[in-house]
Amino acid sequence: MLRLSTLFWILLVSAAAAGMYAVKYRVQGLEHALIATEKATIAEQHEIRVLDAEWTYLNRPESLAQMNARFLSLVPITAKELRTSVADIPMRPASTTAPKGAPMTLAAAAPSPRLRIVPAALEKRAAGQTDPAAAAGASPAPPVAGRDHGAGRAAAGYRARTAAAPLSHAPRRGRSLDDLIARIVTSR
Amino acid sequence: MVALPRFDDNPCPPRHFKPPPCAPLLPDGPARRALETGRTRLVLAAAVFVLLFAVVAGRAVQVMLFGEDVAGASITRFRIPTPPLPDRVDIVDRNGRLLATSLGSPSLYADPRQVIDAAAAVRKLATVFPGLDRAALYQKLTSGKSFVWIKRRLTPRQEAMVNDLGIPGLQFDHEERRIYPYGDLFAHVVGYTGIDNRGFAGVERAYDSVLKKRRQPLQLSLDVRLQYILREEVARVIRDFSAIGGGGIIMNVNTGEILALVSLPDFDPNHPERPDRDYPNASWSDRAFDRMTLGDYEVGSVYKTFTLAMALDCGAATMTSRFDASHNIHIGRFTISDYHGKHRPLTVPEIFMYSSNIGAAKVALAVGAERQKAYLRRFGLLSRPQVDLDERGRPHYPSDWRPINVMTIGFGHGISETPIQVATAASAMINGGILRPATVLKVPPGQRVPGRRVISPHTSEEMRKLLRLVVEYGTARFAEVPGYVVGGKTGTAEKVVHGVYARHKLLSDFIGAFPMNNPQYLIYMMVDEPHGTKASHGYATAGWTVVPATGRVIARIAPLLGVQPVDESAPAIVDALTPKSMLGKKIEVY
Repeated sequence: MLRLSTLFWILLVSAAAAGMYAVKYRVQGLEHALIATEKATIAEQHEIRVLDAEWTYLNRPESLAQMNARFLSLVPITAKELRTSVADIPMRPASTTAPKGAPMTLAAAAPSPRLRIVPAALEKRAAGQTDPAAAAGASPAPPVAGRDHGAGRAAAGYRARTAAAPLSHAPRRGRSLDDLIARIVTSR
Repeated sequence: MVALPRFDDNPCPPRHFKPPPCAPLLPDGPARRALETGRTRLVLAAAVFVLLFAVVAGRAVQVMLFGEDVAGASITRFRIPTPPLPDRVDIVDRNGRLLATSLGSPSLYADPRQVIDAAAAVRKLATVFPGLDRAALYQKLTSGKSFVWIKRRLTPRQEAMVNDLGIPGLQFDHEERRIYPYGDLFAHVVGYTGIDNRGFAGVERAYDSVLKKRRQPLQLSLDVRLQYILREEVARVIRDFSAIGGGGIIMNVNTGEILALVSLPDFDPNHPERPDRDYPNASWSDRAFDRMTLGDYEVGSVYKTFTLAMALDCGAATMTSRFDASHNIHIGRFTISDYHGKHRPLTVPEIFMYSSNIGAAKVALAVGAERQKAYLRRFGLLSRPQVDLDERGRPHYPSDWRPINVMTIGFGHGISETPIQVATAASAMINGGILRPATVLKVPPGQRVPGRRVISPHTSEEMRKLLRLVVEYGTARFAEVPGYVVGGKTGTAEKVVHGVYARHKLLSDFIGAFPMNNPQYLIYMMVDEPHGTKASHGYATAGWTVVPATGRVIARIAPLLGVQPVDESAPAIVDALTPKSMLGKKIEVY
């Protein structure tokens, strides 16, 4: 003879039992997932170690030197090319395109939109987007822009400097950085 | 437990009743007592069971409500796997570049008897290893042996791919291997390990137990860029002058840190036994020999640095003292002569600049045997080099120190030193007079390294002037690098072959430091048995071999080290680096 309270308790107990089983199995499942993740992490860590070694191997000085000889032809910097104090850096001459009244350093630092193109493409490339189509899409202007030597920021500064105070040594043997950037961008 | 009727207190007992003869009817008989005992026992047993059930129930409540308290014990099977620590930690350079690392590399082998379908296995494996020789592998898999290697040292990705293929009969063998990404660049100083990951040479050997115990990478004082530049220039000198070997050290004079250490010919620590393409004729023992720390050589005139330092420090000579170098010294069967003699009395700076053996011998005599010995001991030149590597040679010097020995040792003959201890002692000569042991471990920036004073700061200052003179006017003019105020001392020694000095077997070395107005770095470079070339007008002396090379090294590394170039003709620097007696005078060039 089932009394109502007995029925209630039986139902309650079975509900609790069912609930507990459900929770337990979910916890077990989560724990299995956790172990799988941990194992994957360890595998990734191993892979990172391998890739670290490979990256170091690919960045050996001799291979960098070979690539420099092929693509860059950079030469060691000499003491004459170093300006060690602020006083050594000549001011920009007044005859350049900088608007009157604007601080010269700001005028030199503000990039024109056309000039921004090449660094942006390079940045994307550096970030790992090596898809040539994407790189091409990111630089709608002809890549010659980078070669536009007179307008290049660094080149302008360099020229201004040389114009203001002619350096006492012969021009550098290595190509300028702008040439290099243009060459890398157009080589695709 | 039905209660027994009590007949005796019945007011009207039946007549036919006879009390039964059995015991229970007796009020205090033994039967009653037995019954009572049984009842007590039942109660006790019930109490025990109640207690046990209470414990079980309590435990159930505890597990359910306060699960955390007991979880640790109950879910050990859910332990998170910890990554296995590598047998040896990585070794990195001062900028964190990886010099040595341990990689667990699986190797794939097969038991051909268990391979069911060899052709299919080859086809599947070819998808993982594109460069696989299919025919050879098929032959291996059908050979009927019980063990064949398929591929050694797989990447983890390849391992997973092979596992995914699910070919029966294939097995992996995991072994940890030491990898040296820079190959032969750090052969001697970082060293290598054997099959069971035991350090056999260099840092791997000296810090073997440390590498096994540590959890963090071991950071060395070495710098990949400097090491590469130094090795390249040493190799170039060896090639240009067809020498049999050479080496170099770059040191921080203020901390004793070794920034680069090269000894050629060397080997590839990844495959030590494999012959070296650059030095096909060099034997394994020659290639494994660290000339910089294990070899000991008569370093020649470089030693005059120490002779003059001790003479100036003990007062046996001053910067203005003159010593007559007009005639050769004949003592017993020996003759001491100058390479390019000036044949006149020379002042102390001139003796050093023109590298006069006669002058240095006379200075050494003025110092005297006892003081010479005491100073050399203080400079650490009469004992094993102080460096934290196991490959340490020892200097060789005569047991009885006669006047002839005093004189020859004065210009660096008749005593042999390991290059590392020459570099360490020379650092003390120019850094203000503090001798610090050489180390391959990085010293954190800003940390002061304790040292031992060996000469006075004033003597050290004079030595800087003397070393600068040698590069400005003396035998080491090719080492001059504009802007970096180089100083140094050359040495060219004839090697001893069968107990006699061999005229054409030279050992040329150079000790250079920069910038001399604030010494920071020292470079020692040595070349073994160089031969003169057309470009060097047939000379194989230090001035034509290692001196220009050191100049090239300095020109390349100074910007990397962040040394600020200065104008060396500025009056302040000229005043500080020219001996007082020579200021404003015309100095005769060597």
